Amino acid sequence: MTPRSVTFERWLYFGLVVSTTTTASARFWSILRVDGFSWLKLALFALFAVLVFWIAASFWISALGAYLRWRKPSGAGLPVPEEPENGWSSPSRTAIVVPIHNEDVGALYARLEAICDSLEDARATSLFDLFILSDSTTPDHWILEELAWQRLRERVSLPLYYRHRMDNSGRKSGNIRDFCENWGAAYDYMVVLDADSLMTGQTLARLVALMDANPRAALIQVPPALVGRHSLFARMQQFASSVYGPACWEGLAFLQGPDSNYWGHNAIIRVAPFMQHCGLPALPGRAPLGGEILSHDFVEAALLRRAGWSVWMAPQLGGSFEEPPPTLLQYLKRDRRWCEGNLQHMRLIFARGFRMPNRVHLAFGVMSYLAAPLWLALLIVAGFETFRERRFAPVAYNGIYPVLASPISHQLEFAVLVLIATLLLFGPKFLGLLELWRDPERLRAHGGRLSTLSSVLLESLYSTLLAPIVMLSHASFVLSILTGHSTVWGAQQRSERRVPLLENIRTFLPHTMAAIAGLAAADHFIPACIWWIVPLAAGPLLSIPLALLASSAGAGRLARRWQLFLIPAETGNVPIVRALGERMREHQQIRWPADPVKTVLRDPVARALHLGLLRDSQEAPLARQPGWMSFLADEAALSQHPLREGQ
Amino acid sequence: MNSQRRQFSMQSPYGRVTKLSASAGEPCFGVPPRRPSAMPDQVIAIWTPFRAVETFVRMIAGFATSPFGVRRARADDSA
Repeated sequence: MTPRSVTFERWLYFGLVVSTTTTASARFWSILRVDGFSWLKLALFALFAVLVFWIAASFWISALGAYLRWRKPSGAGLPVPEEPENGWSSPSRTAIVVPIHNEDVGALYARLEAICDSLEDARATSLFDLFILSDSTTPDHWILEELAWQRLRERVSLPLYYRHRMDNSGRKSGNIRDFCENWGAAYDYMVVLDADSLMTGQTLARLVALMDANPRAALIQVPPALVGRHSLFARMQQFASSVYGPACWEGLAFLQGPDSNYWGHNAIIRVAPFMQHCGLPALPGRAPLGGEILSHDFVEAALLRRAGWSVWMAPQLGGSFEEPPPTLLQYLKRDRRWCEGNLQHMRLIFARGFRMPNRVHLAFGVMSYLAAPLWLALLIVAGFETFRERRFAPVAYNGIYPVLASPISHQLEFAVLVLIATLLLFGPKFLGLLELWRDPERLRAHGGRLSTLSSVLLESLYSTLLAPIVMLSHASFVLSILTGHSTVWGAQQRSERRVPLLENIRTFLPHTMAAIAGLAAADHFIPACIWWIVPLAAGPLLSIPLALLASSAGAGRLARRWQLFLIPAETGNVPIVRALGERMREHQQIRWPADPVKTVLRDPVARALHLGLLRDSQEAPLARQPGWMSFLADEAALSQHPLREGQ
Repeated sequence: MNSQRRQFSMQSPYGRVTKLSASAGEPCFGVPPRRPSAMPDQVIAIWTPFRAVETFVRMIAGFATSPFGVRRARADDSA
């Protein structure tokens, strides 16, 4: 396999983005330059140019990807290895590592069981060991994880290990590092999964075969499709990921080639170069912009590339899934963490030795959050400028002296600008739809033409309402981080419980107030422009009911009954997702102890298990406390403990 | 210890606890034996105004010979 050069395509892409930006900016300047120059106009123009560049960059990636998928085979990325007749085999040993932190134990083990079953089906269990790397901080999670681990290891044939860490230094990347430092030397590769990750056995085996076949490849990322949620908000995200995602991933994989990125999970990593080159230092200074590197994945990819190893993206493999946040509130909480991690990357963009594509990755990661305050600034500056010019006629005149009544209307320029912006923002959605319609099998799995068209239109409407809400939230995140406020490392809320009304009101009341203030100001100062403001203010104004409706699983089920936002995982075409549903139902039937700590004290089996695992964790502080272990091992002492007797 | 060993063969709602070896010195069962090896911290020379200018100049200079950091495929890319 020889990686192809993509120099021409990268130049072409860069040229398309720049020419789109130039065309739109020139139109905008032709409107601004009338009535002379001002600093406000210059700021408006600069903001406009930066933001058009940003959305043009996203648009052209999807456009290129749609074209490549249209022209099958695209030739992007690494070739997909076929399963050998006598089953998968490899001279290499691979660890599947699952770092966890206070997760829903039943759902986690159901996913792991589905993955193990899929590996059995693919006849690939002999290639893998599975490590559950727990950073859980509550005793209840810890003990339940042990009990569930014990249950699962009786049911699967591949070696299944459990390690609990008392010292959570380095968070997720520290957890992986701890694995590498203790067991990394025993493995050639590791597949990193998140607690909500799902990968098929075939894809896992193919990843190993790809690594075997490409000795300079240090990391292969398989983009995960979103599946497994039922709320309206999550189902719209899943639909968007399933319809628009493939073109975007194809475009990315093609343009990036061996300079691809790492997204933190659903990827295979060559352990030796990772250990040699990806030990992350703490950044100088204090959090939030200093200290531990939070968004470690982009930096690890950059370090591997700096050391001369290649990093690939393999969307063509498929079989890679994760779950989206169930509600808008959880989505924004996750974004608050990611925002902090990505803003740290501002300090790394110009780090010595990184390659240009990695600098672009880091810059795009920063920009994905910095864009929000820039959009907000654009709106505010545009409002001021409109107010300043409200005394002028809505037309300009040819020449310096308007002696001759020869008015020039800006309607055409505005219409062209609106058209360009609409094309850039919504184009990828409709390209994805057209590309879907060309594939009868995929189209059927998404519910047919009418269903997909209605879904795309509704999703576009919803994302239009959502965009200003997210913009306001992201702008506040950026502001809070730049003023020194850091986030805490909490467990992710993955269950689909409905968000309480009060929590929703508390979160989205500022958005509603901002919309009311914006509309009132526009009505007072620039009443002629109020109808330009209304579509922007509608989302934040309705954010409380919108968030409530979107977080509802009932609304999601209703949409499904109406054949809206269907994805292949819901129409039954993805065996591992179907199997996961069965495993989830089984796990819901298990009566896990309501008080796991009491169970350890009362139940000799649970206690023996806990003791055995504690003895394994020689470095754990609890294990170094002989009092705790001897207490658990001492039947006489235990019999005196009040909890033992059910109090 | 003997009483503990008996407990290991017990059935519980969470599965049968087997293959445990709780006494010190016996093989671990939660995890395989450790093979400690170092993962050294990397040096990342981060942003300073001077370094930004230096990097920018390097980027421009490198752009002419290797646009976007792309290099032609090499023999050692093949497998």
